[in-house]
Amino acid sequence: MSDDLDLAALLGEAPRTPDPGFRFDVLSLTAERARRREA
Amino acid sequence: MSAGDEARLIGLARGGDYAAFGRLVDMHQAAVRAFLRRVTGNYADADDLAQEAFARTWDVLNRFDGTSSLRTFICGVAFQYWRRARSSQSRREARETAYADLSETHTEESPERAGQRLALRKAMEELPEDQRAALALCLGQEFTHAEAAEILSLPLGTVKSHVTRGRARLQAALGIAEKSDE
Repeated sequence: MSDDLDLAALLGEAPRTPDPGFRFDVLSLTAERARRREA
Repeated sequence: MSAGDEARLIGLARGGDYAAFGRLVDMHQAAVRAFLRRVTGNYADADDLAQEAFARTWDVLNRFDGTSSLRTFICGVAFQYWRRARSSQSRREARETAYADLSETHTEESPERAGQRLALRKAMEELPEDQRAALALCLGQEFTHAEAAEILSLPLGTVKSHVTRGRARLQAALGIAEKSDE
């Protein structure tokens, strides 16, 4: 199984901790989409 | 966080609570971003798709019936976004972007590891979409085969077969002898 984890890491690492910047971008996009729908 | 806590946050988010939705984003961003990083080979593209998938999840949260986990539900949305993006982008462009990302994101790693990463990326590019996605979901152990089957809307046996065969292709690309599946 550790082979699988090594393959996975080579393909792309999972972020180790939640990124507040990512959350901010998601919420901004969500709000923007809602604004566009309402316009 | 318990399932009850998550259900409470989902209820709040359905009512328009952005802070609650932000907490759900934090709970699930690692698994969704890891899946998309592995399937696209490009961290920037992966995060763009992940943001779109979370934003879409906000729009359709009322359709989430709780029969699957929210994490599985979001990854199903992410998978659809990846397929759509892939169909609108030429294969050549995707490969060039992935290779550019290899040199930009992992500059500190050894040449040997960079070579392995490149070999794996090439091998992934040659796999059918479903097989690639099954590997991206299951190799890192973020998702079980059953969850991957749900996300990809495939029979469980097909997902297991995709993972076994895909793993062998990736190992072959690294020059590792094929092992039997557990």
